[in-house]
Amino acid sequence: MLVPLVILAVLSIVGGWIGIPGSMGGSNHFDKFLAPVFHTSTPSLNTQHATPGEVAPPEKQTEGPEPQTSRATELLFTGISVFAALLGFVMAAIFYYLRPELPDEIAHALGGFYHAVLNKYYVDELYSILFVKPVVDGSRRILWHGVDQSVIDATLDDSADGARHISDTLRHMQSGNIRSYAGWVAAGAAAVIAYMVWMGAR
Amino acid sequence: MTGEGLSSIILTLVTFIPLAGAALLLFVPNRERDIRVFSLVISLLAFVLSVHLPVHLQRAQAGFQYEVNVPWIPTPNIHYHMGVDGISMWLLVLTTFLTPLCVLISWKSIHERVKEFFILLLILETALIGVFVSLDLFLFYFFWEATLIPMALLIGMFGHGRRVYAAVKFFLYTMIASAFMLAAILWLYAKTGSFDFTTIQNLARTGNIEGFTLAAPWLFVGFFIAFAVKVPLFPFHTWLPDAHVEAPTAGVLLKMGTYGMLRFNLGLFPDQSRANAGWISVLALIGIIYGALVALVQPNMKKLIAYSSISHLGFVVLGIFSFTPAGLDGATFVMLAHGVSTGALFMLAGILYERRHTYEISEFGGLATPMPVYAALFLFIVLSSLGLPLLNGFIGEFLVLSGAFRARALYGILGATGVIWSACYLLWMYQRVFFGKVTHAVNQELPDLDLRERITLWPTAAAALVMGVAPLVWLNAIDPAVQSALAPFTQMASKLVGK
Repeated sequence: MLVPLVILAVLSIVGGWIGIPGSMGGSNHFDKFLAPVFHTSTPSLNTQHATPGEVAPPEKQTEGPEPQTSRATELLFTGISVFAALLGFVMAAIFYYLRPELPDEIAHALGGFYHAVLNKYYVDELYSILFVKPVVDGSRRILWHGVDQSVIDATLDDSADGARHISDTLRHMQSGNIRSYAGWVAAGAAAVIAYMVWMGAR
Repeated sequence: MTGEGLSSIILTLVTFIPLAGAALLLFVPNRERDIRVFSLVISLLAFVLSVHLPVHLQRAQAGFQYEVNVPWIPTPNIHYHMGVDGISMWLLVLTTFLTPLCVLISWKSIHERVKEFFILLLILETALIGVFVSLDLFLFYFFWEATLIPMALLIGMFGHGRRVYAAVKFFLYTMIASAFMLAAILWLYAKTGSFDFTTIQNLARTGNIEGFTLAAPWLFVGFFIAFAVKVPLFPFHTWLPDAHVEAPTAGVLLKMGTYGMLRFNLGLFPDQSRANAGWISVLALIGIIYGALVALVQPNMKKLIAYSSISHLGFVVLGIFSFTPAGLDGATFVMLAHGVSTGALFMLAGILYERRHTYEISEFGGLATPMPVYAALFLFIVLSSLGLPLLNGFIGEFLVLSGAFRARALYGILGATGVIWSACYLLWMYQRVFFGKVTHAVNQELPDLDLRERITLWPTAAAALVMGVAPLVWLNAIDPAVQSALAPFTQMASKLVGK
């Protein structure tokens, strides 16, 4: 495990320099990464077909001017984050290196509160009951088994089966029995004549 | 000079080389290895030739390039008319890029009726390319239906479990839907005497087709249904999970639907597209969210990927019907990105299937220990599929959402939730399959990727990365095509304002 950590530590020294703040003589190299993608899709729409109240407003508007932060603010935030990191480093050194018995003592002193913190205030559990379970169960029971399988798929399968059943029934008319065909022709002719007579009688 | 000579026949070559390969394959002796190598060579040849297209494309120029237009059948007036713009060109290259990988990934998993498999795969490639390059409605319909036959046979012959059910379902679904498109095409031919896309488009735009305004709503729906089933758009999607679980390789098929919407629904019926955009966008949003939620609870890895496709293709439809350049650029980019990432996901799932003969997520767990390289590549593709910045999924979805947001803020907001859902189902699946302790003893000894599998997967991973960091290579060619597709819409808008 040591070697990967060493590699990451070395890389973290290098990586930090890429986005070094302007107040320290650096600049952000990544924030304009996607800009050219939008530039391809804007010019012709904006310049050639531009009309007042056009459906697609010029995309450039969304970009806005580059946010300018003052030197002091930048240094302040840098200072805060460096301080937070150092604080963590010092605390870790105290708890796990200088006085390893201290964490247990603190845990005892805090009692129930310690367990709540240990379990991240039970946010995960709460989240699971409130969101995860309803979404997963709802998706499975209502959307997948309910809508997808029982409504959409069942309708399609039934209509395919229905077509087959109707054909299965109708094919018995094709019996090859000439007398039965003659019978159907006679019955059909009788029905047509009856209809015409009835229509004529009205 | 050879470049120019090649340009005039390049589309014909790329389209029919796979078919010619399939025909030659009939005469290759029935030795499995020879058949595989031959198919690989043919599909690679098609890919190498297709690279000619983006290299020599006039990027600044809108309209179709590499055109061929010769009379084919005098009565009815059918032309052999092919050509590509930036959109269809990249879809073509996607097809030729994925086919050799399909050949490689099926190297070992197919060991029965090997020759039939590769013949069908090559025929499918020709038909798919044909769909993207056809500019004659009859030719287009011919290729469109031609994809059905090899695809249905592939599902039915080489699927698993309920493969015949899946094949018949796939066939009926898409065939019935295509009949509506055929009716619409025939109506257009009856009124214009031409199957030619550009001719009909010009006649329609200048209002020179008799009865067009009355018929247009029906024609629009006729085309739309055929494409919506193929995409597949909710509620026409239930063939996909069945078909994709059974299909040994699933590739570019779905993009036929979204490409069709872009080219024909928007191209021929701009007014109707505008009028129907509302409910279509709603269906697309339902597809995005519903597909993701159902994907979340799938116990079967391949079904999960299939439902995730429904979600991703919802983005494409949403982008197309936003009628903004960003939306259409993004839609096209999502098509390409989804082809690469989902193609890779299917291959990855297939690799696991080869080893364990199951796709059930519960059968796995802790696979990162026995298969570290596989796990790393899988994670990379999962991240690209869920739209991590710097990988290909992000660019397209971001553009689509910004386009959708511009068309209607609510669409953008709802669509954006789809990104979150895709992270949920993909990462949860990944966690259950790869993290933790090995839960089934049989998985302990699973071999990691061999050389052939690495060679198959590396190109997709590389493509996912390159598309993510240098999207302009693709968008430079897509954008002019998108602008010309949108020209009637901006004119409509100025007409509205001009009144």
